[in-house]
Amino acid sequence: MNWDIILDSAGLYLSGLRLTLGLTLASLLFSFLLAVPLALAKWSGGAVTRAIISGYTLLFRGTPLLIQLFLIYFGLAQFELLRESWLWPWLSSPLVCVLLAFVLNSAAYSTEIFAAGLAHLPRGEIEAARAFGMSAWVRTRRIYLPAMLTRSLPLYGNEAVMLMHATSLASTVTLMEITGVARNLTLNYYIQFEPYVTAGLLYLILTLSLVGLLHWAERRWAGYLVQR
Amino acid sequence: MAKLEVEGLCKRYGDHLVIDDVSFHAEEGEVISLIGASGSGKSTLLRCINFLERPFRGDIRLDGERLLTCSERPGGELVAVDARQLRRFRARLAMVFQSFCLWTHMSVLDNLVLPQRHVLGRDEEAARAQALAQLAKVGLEAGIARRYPERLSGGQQQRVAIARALCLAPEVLLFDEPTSALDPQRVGEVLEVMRALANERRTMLLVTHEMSFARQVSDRVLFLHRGRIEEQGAPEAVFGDPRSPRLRRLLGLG
Ligand SMILES: Nc1ncnc2c1ncn2[C@@H]1O[C@H](COP(=O)(O)OP(=O)(O)OP(=O)(O)O)[C@@H](O)[C@H]1O
Ligand SMILES: [Mg+2]
Repeated sequence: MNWDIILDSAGLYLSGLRLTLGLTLASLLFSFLLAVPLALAKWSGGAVTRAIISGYTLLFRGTPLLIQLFLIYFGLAQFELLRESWLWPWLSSPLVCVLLAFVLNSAAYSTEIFAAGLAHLPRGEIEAARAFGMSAWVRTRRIYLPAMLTRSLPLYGNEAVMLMHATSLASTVTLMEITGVARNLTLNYYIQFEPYVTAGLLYLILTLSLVGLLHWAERRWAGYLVQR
Repeated sequence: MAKLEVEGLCKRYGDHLVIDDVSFHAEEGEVISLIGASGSGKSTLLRCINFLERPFRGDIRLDGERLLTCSERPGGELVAVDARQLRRFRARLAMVFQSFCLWTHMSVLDNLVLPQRHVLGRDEEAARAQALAQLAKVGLEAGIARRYPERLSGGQQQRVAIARALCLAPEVLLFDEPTSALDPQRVGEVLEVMRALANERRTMLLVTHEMSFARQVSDRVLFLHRGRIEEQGAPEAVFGDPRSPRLRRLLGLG
């Protein structure tokens, strides 16, 4: 066994961990900001709005994330117009492409999760809010949003964990997150087992932390849903 | 001037005329019960008054002020012209639902505070004080304020719902079968609260199947049949000597 190689590479793993964390949190943040209004719009909007949003989520949930990433990172380069536009410095950066793919993909899943949470909100609670003369804005902020988020917390937690695992795909476009670091070690030292086990352990620790955080959030905000 | 006036109200679902030219008014302090067979349009009538359902014709007046409405196309459903006015009307007409309709994701206290904060614009402290006062009024201890609604019994939940309505100091209370979803042994505690409100001379509109209760507390009873007021009058007359054969059948008088 070659654990001393792993120990010597602790710094690399640490920076990989930082990148994995950064990718996960940034993707979660932006996809959340995108998914919340999309879910509200899908739930309350007309047929056209619903169809457009469903089309988007179908597209991104119906195809592999890796394909989406390759299309954004490699595929877009084929378009002359894009290459010459002001967007190109961003679109040619692997970091931006990875974030774009993760955000769009995760927002698609999150939108459906949140919309399902809204669909489970009892009709009467909405009617009561209207009957007391609350404005649409107050109803959204104080009734729909909290009810939606608490009701979809368990499913959203799953999505967050899966997104965190999916960030390992970033290594395919040269980013050195945990998986990228491990893969580089296997190529440089011709050892296959130790680098990946270490990577797996790091993911496991991240997962457990994330799950702990989600359980805490569930106890804090979604306690009312627990049956006695 | 009447507190609440309903004039020429008509509502349909598709081709089905559910409320057919209903007019009545409630004086300040009057308790009016709406009775009728299932499907006769009692709930729909009540829900048209605060525009939870949109009628296609008719006027609602509170203290003589007309709710401004228009229809987007001829014969279509009415919509409120001024969203602000509609919200103000709704706050003046607080509703108590059959299935309580408390907001399950917040504590009882938050249920009572939220509408006061955002509809009346009260500050947090005044809203809390009012909430606790109304909880006491419906016979609930202050300890309940911190709990989630679904942790309470049905009777307690409905009393919280009544307290929530009272917190807005509404001018008219609308009740839609407030005891129908309750276990039989819980009905009494809610009726007690409502009796106390009636004795305070609150203006109340009450849809109910509790005939003996309606008889005791009402000033006037309206009998609805197929969306029309078929009979109305003082409770002694309506319950004691009903003329409509359908009302006689509903009351089990043959
Ligand atoms: N959303 C709706 N769409 C279509 N028809 C409806 C709708 N709501 C009610 N109706 C119909 O309108 C009629 C009146 O219904 P409503 O609920 O007002 O009756 P109700 O007198 O309150 O009956 P109950 O005593 O059972 O509560 C019924 O025939 C019902 O089928
Ligand atoms: Mg009804």
